[in-house]
Amino acid sequence: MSEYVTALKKVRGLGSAKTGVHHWVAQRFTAITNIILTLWLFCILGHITDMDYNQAYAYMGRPFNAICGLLFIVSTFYHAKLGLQTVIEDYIHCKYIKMASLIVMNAIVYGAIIAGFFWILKISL
Amino acid sequence: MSDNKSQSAASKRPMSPHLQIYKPQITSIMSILHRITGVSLTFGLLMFLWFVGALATGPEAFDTFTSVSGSFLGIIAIFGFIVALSYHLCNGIRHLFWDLGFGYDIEIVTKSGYGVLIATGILSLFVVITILI
Repeated sequence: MSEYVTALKKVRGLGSAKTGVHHWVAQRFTAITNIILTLWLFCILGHITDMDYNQAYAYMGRPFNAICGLLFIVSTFYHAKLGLQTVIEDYIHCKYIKMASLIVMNAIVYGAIIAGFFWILKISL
Repeated sequence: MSDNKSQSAASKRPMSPHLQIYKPQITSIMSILHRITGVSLTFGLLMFLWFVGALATGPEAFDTFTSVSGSFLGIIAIFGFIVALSYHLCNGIRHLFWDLGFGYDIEIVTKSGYGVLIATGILSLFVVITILI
């Protein structure tokens, strides 16, 4: 197979869809970062459930927790976007409903990332 | 008439057995569970987002959040979120090993499946205990 591919095409490695393996690789990459960040979430879940508002505010505002929170939001929501995209493409066959679902899903995911960033920065800065 | 004829001819063509024909197996059940937990975890993420938003907005918004998260349904949802997240995490690690090319023998696929179920139980139990303590 590879003998029919020009050297330039091999270097670019984009394949027929032109976006290449980005979706696949990004899903695995965020899967690995999600493992670490989920352990962080489990740790703060153990602490934060006993706290009142002021304690929880101070706790989430600590630099380490704020940074982990920001990373958690990007990594998990992006992973969710990739997964939901696959599910929508697999199960919705009407192209208009499929396109509408993808637009709504992307809007929610990117909106959630921006909102999460704003709120965590507001708490921590 | 000719339309009816061609339709009945089309319906008599051999069809591939549909999903519900197959006997449920641990491999297929765990595969669909990975998708179901993945989709439901999105709602868990939105709940986490609500928590952060309520915290940033103020004590009143936070009270609204805790009155929902502390209610019976809220606690069930959080418990479900922890179990689903533990499952998706453990089975995700199983998927990553497949991606690296390991564990494709059917015996190992079955064994790693049961391993994931046990690990899910232990991890979610551990998280629930750390919350309760």
